Amino acid sequence: MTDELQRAERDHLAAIEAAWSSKPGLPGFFSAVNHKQIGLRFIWTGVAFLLIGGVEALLLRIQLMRAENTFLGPDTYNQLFTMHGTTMMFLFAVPLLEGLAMYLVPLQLGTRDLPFPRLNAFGYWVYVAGGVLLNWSLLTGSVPDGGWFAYVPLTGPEFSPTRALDFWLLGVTFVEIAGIVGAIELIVVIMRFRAPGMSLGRMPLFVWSVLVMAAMMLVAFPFVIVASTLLELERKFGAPFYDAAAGGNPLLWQHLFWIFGHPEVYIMLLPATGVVSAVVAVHVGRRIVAYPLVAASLIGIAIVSFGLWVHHMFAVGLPVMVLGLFAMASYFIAIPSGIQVFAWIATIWEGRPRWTAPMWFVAGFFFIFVLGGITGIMVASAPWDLQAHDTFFVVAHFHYVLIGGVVFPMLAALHHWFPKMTGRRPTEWAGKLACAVMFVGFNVTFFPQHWLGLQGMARRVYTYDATLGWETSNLWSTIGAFVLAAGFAVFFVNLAHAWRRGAVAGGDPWCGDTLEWATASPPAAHSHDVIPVVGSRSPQWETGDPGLPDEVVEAVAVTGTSWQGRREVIRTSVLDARPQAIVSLPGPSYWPVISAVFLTVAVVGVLVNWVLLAAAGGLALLVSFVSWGESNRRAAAAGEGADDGGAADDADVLAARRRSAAGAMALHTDPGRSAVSTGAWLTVAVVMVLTGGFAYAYYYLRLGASAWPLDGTEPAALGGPLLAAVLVVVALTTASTIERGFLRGLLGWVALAGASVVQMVSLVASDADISADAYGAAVVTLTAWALIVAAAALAVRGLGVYHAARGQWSLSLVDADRPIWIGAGVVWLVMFAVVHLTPRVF
Amino acid sequence: MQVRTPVVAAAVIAVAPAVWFTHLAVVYALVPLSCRWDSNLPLHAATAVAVAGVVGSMWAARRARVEASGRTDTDDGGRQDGTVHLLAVLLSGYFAFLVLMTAMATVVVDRCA
Repeated sequence: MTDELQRAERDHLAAIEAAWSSKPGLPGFFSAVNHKQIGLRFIWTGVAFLLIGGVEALLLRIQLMRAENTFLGPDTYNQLFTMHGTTMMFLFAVPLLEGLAMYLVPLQLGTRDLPFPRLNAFGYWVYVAGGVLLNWSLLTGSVPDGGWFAYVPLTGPEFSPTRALDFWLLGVTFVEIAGIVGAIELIVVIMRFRAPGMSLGRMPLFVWSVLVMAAMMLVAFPFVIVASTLLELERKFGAPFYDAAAGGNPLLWQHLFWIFGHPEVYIMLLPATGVVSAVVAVHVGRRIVAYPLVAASLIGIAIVSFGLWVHHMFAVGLPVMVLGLFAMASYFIAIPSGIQVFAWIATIWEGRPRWTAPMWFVAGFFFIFVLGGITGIMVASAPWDLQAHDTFFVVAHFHYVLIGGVVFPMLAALHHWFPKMTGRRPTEWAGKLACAVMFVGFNVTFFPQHWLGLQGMARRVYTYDATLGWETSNLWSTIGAFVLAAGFAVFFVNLAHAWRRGAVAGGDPWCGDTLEWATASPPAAHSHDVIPVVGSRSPQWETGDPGLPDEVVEAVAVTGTSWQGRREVIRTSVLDARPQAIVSLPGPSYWPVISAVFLTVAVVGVLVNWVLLAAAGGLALLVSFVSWGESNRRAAAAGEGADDGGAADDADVLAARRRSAAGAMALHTDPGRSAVSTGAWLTVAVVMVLTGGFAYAYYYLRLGASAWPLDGTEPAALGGPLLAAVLVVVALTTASTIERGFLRGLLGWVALAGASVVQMVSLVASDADISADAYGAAVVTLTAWALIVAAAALAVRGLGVYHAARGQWSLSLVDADRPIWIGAGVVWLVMFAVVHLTPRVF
Repeated sequence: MQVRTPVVAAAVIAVAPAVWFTHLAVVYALVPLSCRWDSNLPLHAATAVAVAGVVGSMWAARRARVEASGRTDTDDGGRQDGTVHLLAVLLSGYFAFLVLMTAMATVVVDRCA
């Protein structure tokens, strides 16, 4: 290579590094948006919550180690098991796995960042706010005590009158919102930013598992948000959704919660199985056997998991045949789970396994998870479940599934990818020692709990009588818990030691097969110096034929070079990963953290009844969102990159669209195919699921009522809502017109705004009372929901029209407008059909 | 049928799971009615329709896979990925089995218990 070529390459690399650099110090900390920074924060914050939840578990075990122990009182015990479950389920497992995915997926896909980095940072700060709110109660002494699944009426206003439950509901909702934001990011990056040539059939299995996990989150998480919202409305405004005396139904909570809660288990489990696939392949030195079957199994498990929620409710008094239906479905989820296990065993059988520390954890996973799966089949049988329900047998079962199936693979992942994250290798013997101690400790802790459950020991009892004969098993269980904790301590001390003094890892210490091992350890901010072209499932082991025309491959090699200081990535087609466009991403910003703070202030203000605080927080939030969008638009115009593409000026891009100038590897110019558009459609999908949740609640209450409205009166007049619906249909006709001119966009805006005013007037005139009975509560809530979604659509369209009128197009707003507009219209029409037509039909 | 767009791909994969889930929900709702009518016929009819749907989706997915393998070139000279077809075939088979197994409950359990 000549000196000139070397110099050119150095300059090229320096330009990329400059484009992707972050601010140093505290400003850099608060403005960071890079997927590796945010991913690591999710991971280590999750580990911190693991330690908190672990200490809570040890306190619980100390209390139970002796009969009639007085170490903890009953109230404190209730609070501790509530916070232990909540912390582990909401604050530790899912965020940590999502953080792992945020860190690894872009690296494995051969791209440089997630598609909406600032939104990703916002999600992290919202997660932190949720975690702080959930644990704030520990400092104030008013701690939630209704269990991690918070059944009503125990958590209703009558039996939980303090604000502790309000903060629990708020914290959980915050964490789930953060999860949904991350899920949208992950789906868009997997669908639209894979390395050229990485077709769906060449995606790493870990990426498949993350894709399935993220899709599940979009469907499952809204249901717990709906359940929490309805409970908060009951607690705050007396809306009796769960109050049987006013037409509500406590079982509605169980349905809504478990429609979320059962898939939640698989939301944690599936990425963990993806980790196992990744670790086994690397440490065995061959690709996973039966790749298509494993990918299909991931999808199959995800879908079936949504049809199993009733098996958590076998004891509530459902018809026996219904129990049979859900029991059968529960049994046969074992088939795809078994396919994965046999695929891993076959891979190890066929390969040359290196029994490294990550493989020790995988071996532990096999043993513990399979045992948990077998007891899962047992409790899927309704007669068995009726005996074991709410006993320590169930506690043992789900800890075998969650610690064996999720935590062991997590620890394998941390040991496996720690060298990539830090550039240092953890000590092997210490990793194996940690695994061995944890394996012994885990089984000593939880295996006796099977016996305790079969002997009749109920879960969530703070003490027991000495004559029951449970003391020995409980003592062993407590001893095991401390051994397990010691194993965790060894593991994290090993990582901490390696962070400072571990052996230098190099780029590929394990001889890995996927693209993250093609980067430095730790990777540079821009990850890949050159965007890779992929021709096989294991691009580090075999090159393969990418199946792309030569000129496209050559074009890829010279793109993504940070033209004019932009953070450039390549957008590819969904199915075949053919290059479509160059997209530039936004850089560091303070707006995500500022917006998260104001959001927290606004919602806390509502909860503590400080109207001024809530109003100030809400106003500040609105201003921060607008300023955030404006900063994106200005950054794009200044050539610094933005969510919405890499042209010098958005107006130029729109002009290019009108000329149909889009082509392969052009700048981002094709409407409806951009990452913003994909993200907006996914957001609309979440809104639709939320609407489905509210409608489900409405029909569940309706079907349980003898008359509807409950007092036997006629439903509210149809005239106003019908006029509003007609106006919404008019507004919908302008869904795809904003980029053709602001006047048509304005027409749609006026129509939807008019519909909102008419609907509000009709609601007030109807005398609907949210606190009167379940009918009133359902009508007001669904109507308010449609109005809120319409307000969001009006805000997006309004800003778009405002900029268009000034000749300053915002491409993000244009791309987001159509999905959000259609979503708002559909939500409105669903509300109209449910609230205004249903009572007239049955 | 060539799977060229993500929407079609998602639809091809989703048919069989959607049929299974719909069958589960419909049979759930029909249980009280079948008790009232003193007949399992509505339940079996729902199962028959579901089995027909899911077997049909498996047949269509397999046929699409055969067709796609016969013409794999894309517009720009690249090769088309057949993963979606294969996943659709595998998932259809699994959900066909699942519909039948779920329906076993309607055969062996008392509808009025």
